[in-house]
Amino acid sequence: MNRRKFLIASSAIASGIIGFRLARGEEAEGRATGYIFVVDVRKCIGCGRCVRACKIENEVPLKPYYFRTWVERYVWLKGEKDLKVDSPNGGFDGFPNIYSEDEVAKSYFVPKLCNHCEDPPCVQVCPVGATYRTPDGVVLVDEKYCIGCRYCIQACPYGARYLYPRDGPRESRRNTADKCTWCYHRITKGYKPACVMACPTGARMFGREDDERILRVLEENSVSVLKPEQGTKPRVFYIGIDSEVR
Amino acid sequence: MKVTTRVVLLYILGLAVFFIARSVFVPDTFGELGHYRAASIGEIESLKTKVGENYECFNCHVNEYVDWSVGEHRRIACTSCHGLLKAHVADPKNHSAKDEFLSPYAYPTMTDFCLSCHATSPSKPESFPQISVEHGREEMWNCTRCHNPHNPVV
Repeated sequence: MNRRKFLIASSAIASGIIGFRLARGEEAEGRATGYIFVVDVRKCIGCGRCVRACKIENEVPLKPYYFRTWVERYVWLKGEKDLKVDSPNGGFDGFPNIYSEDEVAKSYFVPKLCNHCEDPPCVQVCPVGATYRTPDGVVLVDEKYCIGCRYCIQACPYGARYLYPRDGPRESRRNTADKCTWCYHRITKGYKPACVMACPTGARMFGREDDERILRVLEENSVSVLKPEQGTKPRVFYIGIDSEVR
Repeated sequence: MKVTTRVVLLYILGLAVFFIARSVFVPDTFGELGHYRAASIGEIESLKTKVGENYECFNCHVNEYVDWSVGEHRRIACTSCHGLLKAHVADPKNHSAKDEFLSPYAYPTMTDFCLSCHATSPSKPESFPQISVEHGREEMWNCTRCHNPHNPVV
């Protein structure tokens, strides 16, 4: 075998392997996305039940600054161009009434959680493959494999991730990235996520992609996603938000 | 000729070392579904649920069910006000139904608990029932003196 033949043969084998891998990747991407989460901000009353239920269900540290889901208050004051956003303790204790009825032009609460993007930046940046998107479209963190480098926390445009503190209640999760899993351990058993269960007004809705109830909600309302310009294709849809909500 | 054999042997040895090291360091099931450990999905799936379901409560609390099922609060899950109470469901005699985070016991008084939803706020939807500061003042600020929490309309 001369050098020319060797080069031709080896490049043929290499392109075959790459082509096979690409074809397999496309197949994986074409799978069903699974679940849809809908947040109706017109119903949210900012009571903080979801934040409490989430923290208990998922062993999230009870101290401030650690949230898998939290609630923000958006306020437009009369005569002021800029809006005001606050989230005292993530809404855990509710929202103190600091604005009077007369000065507020418009205001509502916006519950936030991981958007479980179809094209998640956090998964792209993980150097060890510890965060991933499951075949049914939920973005999860492998707590045994995460090295705690915080790349994903930086990459998330929604600030949905945090580093589980070293004194957190769940030992195996310490010093790893943690985030909302849509209560994966509940939804795979047929239950609803803890925040959806705890919501007293039905502002949070969750269902499979083929669930007619959730499809009707999406059809009947004008829905939007957070930061569509990021191209992350979120699977959490919001009803009744303005474009300033980010 | 001898040199070529040595190079080939060295090459094979290098490959062997690589594949042995790879099988040691790459965890099982890594790459089965993608660039991650497929077994991790099952591990997260097998975590224990904590928030209970309504039917678990109604096995015993029938009267409360009757009140609740016709009242304005009928769309609110039991756990939303009473907490998780998994321990109480498993062993009702030895575990009281008091949850420290999702129940009236998480708030200073019962009234504070009611107000955590029903306090007036310009941020809340207008159709949501919000009470004014004056309402019920003379009743010592105890909502449950007049309202049954399971069926709150007086």
